[in-house]
Amino acid sequence: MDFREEYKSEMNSAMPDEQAMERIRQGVAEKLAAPKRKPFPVRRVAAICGSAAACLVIGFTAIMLTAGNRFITSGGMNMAPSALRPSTESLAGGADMGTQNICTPNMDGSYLGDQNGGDADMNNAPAEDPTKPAGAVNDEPPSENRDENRGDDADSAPQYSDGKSNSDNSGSLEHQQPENFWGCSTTVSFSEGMITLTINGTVRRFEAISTSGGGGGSEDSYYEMPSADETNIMPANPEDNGTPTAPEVNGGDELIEVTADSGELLFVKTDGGKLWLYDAELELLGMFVEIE
Amino acid sequence: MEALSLVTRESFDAVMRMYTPTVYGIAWSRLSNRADAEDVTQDVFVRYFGADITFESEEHRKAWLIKCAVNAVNSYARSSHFKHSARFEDIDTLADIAADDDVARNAENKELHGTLHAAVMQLPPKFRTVVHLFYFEDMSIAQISEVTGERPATVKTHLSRARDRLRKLLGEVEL
Repeated sequence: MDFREEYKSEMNSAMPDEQAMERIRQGVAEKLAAPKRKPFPVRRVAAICGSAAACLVIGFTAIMLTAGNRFITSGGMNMAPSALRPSTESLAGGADMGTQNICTPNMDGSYLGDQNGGDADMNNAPAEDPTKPAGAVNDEPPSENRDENRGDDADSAPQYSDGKSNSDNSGSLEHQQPENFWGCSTTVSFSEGMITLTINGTVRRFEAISTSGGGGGSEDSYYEMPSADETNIMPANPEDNGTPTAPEVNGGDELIEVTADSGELLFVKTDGGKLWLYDAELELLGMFVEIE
Repeated sequence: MEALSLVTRESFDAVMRMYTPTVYGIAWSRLSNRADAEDVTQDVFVRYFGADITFESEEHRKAWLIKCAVNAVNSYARSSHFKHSARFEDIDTLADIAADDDVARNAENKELHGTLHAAVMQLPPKFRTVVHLFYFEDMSIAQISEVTGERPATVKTHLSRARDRLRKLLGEVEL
């Protein structure tokens, strides 16, 4: 049996007859005459949807990055609770103390009576007289103006902090209230020549080593405090004859804007165990060193 | 027929008359169902008249139609419509043809046992087209390779294995 011939004959017998041929021919003609349906533009729709999704992702990412950068720039990242910080030394960062509760000292006249007038009784050169070496006694008598600025001028002294936060700086992100934002609170209080800095229960005490209120106005007087222990008075920078060295305000160090209860705008800078206090004009009011 | 403005009635009828057996035979040898074979044949000719192709010769036209038919049959055989539809006339033919040992036993149970077409339908689908093109269309291994897209060695292997199975099914036959 020849498979080829047999197979051909079987297939020829299975070929469509005239009816089937006409049926196929009509079917082809109808399909050709039918209007062609435009296929659904899957690729075009996919391209448009993909582009829109990509734009949304890019836009959302840009918004998130911008917000994150603004938050970092404003120091918001340093506003974390102190429990999350490696140590309290991070206070030197500055930006984490956007606002503070300033506790003014107890300023009775007896305490500050011999301390006003340009540091006359302190064995430390005033900031306005850098030519005097450290430890030199200032023989200049206190000026009348200084006498008027004595601490017993209680009328001009602000009242003590009642724990209220500064509401003047709550308008922008840079002035977010720490206790509102992160739940932490920073308090600065003055008492007997010392500044007590309390951050979330962590107390750091600073002792005044230099004040510069000799030529200042009355608003400076109550910050001019001597050291509690004058034997421990040390120049801020012994190499420049005891002249207190102000931090480089323009050198990138961030000052912490604080507001006293009296409404007076002040600035504070901390660096390790040191603390600088500035007025609104960025004039150094005093330097303090941390007491162990 | 308005859509055939570019195709004259004479050329349409001539092409349909000349190549319908070829296209239909490819479809039927693979699908073993007349309705399905007619559908595939219609699709092939719709593609042919819808395509704007200038053929160099009748051999070129025939090769194009055969290749289009093979592709259309493969697509139709992969469709869910073909896989899940019951075929009353060929339900026995589409029975399981899995193992080589079962081929002869399956063939004995077929209603069309004894016919060559029934034996060919016991072959795996990839062998059926090769057998049909080689024995019915008298195509060479190279031509089958070009039409099916397989390598010539693959086509030769398929043809050889198909012959072996057909010998088992049909006994002594000159292949």
